[in-house]
Amino acid sequence: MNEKPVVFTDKEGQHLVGIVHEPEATPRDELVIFAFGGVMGRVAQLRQYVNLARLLAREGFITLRFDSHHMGDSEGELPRCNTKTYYGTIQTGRYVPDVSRAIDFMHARYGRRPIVLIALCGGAITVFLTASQDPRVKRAVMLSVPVALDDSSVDYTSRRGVADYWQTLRPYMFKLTKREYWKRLLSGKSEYDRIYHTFKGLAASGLAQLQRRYERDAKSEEAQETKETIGGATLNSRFFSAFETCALTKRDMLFVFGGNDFFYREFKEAFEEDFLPKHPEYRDAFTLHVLPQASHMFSFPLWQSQLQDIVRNWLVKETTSTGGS
Amino acid sequence: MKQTPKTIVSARGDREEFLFFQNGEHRLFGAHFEPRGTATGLGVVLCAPFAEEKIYTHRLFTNFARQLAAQGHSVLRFDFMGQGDSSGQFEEATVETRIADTMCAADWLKGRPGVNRLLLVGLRMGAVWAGLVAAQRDDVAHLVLWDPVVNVERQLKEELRLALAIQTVLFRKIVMNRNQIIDSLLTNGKAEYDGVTLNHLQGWVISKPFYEQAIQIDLRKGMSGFTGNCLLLPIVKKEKKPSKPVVELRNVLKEQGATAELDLAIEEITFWTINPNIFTNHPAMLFDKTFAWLREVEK
Repeated sequence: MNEKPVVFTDKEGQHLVGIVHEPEATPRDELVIFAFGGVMGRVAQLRQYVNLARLLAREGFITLRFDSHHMGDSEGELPRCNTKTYYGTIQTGRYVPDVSRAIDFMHARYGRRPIVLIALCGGAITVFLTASQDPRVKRAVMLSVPVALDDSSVDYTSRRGVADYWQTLRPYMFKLTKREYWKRLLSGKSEYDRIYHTFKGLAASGLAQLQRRYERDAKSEEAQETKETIGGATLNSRFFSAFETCALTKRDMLFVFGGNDFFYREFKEAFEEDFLPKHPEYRDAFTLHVLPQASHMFSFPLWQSQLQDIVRNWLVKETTSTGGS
Repeated sequence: MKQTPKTIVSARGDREEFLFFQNGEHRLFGAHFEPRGTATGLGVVLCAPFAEEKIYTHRLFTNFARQLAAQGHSVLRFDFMGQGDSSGQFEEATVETRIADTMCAADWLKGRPGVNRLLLVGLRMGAVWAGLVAAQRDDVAHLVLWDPVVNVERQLKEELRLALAIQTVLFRKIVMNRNQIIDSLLTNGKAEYDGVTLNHLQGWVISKPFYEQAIQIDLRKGMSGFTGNCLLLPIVKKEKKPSKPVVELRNVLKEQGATAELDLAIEEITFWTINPNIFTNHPAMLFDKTFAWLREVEK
């Protein structure tokens, strides 16, 4: 495998920096591009893009990881901002032009070949939006993709479920029967901030859930047909229109989620249980994998290797079955 | 394999090159920022923090490097083996490899035309590697330790404790506590339960050699020999007294003949984690105090 730094420009002429991974053997036909995921750049949390790109290069794929403008080593400036507002701009397509430029770059370097896009979280919605707009994209792999929009008013406390907070609290509850725990609690060595915020979150998410149930009951059936929010956040209409476009144009779509990710609960509620029943013709248009216990970022060595296997197997199988080398 | 670096020339004419350089059997990724205008002769090596903190602070280092280059310094930001774009896996890296990587990066920069002395800058665990390497070289004129981890064992134990919560997701209880994980790591080379690796820090697997070497480190004892200029800048959210270990480190450095200045950088967020409300890679006070100090010691 050969790894090389590369540079290309965005639509404003700013330099974007990336790494290409080239396989030793004759490469497969498809080119893989990892889309920028937000704050974590071309490496991604737990270095997942690096590990996956190397794995795919060993399987014969030429891959590119790159930093979008104003991130990592690339040019451009991002002034101080609200994190959730920034996420919202990503979810509405902030980095789509950069991915299109990355496709231009890969085509110029390796020839016009089908494109596979892969990304995590904010990068995943970028992948989805790009795939729906750019006919050069053949497959899209979306890991922990958000179906809702972030903005500064969004409260993650109400979007996280009671189960999330219970997960954090459970070890403390287990310790309540132990004398050492009480000694530590009274000695001033405990993490009072963490305990306080967990209890506060549990109470807030419980109230939010009750409120959602009350609102659901209060709404007419007609109103329920036009679902626009989830957990207090606005659903991203671009997600659903991107899905329809990709389905109609026969792009291959792979979604992977961690079962403990509140993004999965939102996907399930808004997409699987609300959108799909109204559009049964799309039921076979995508592949979905859920790693039951995994978190949003698959932040455990076991989940990372399971995730890698899922992506590799799907790409290799799809490539083989559609005539790739 | 030797490769030609990829170079950016910005609209202002600033040159940055991206390349891999060899350290033994591993290839390390580097971003070299060439000095703007008349070069000062100072080469600056930036040492990133550890594990996930490195990813969140990448852009901060890029911004700092560009500002340093604009003042005429030659700057190298690099990735340790097993991190960023460098070769290898995180769990293969030890204290020895990180020190060797920092030495290699310093040698690479020192080999650039016109560079005649070095400044090492490290953040958190990166400050540990910078401090240890500065004590081993006679060409390091200046050293900047941003929020240094003075007692590494204590830091690792704290991070191992934070990683325990994830066990409850998999097993519905804590199956191995921190001390059991450490014992198992030191005895068996790993800590596993039901085939699942537990010797990790929020997903980053640490090895027995790394842990054994790391717990021996205490910067108050590990920097003997350094007699250059040192700035210690703990990063805090509000004005408060510096911690006792940092004060002790400053005192030790002074006693051994170094010029050691201890100050505080008051910043609204800690840049090595995600803040859900504020996003910025421009820590104004951290950069300003570092540049002000550098101007003084470079006079």
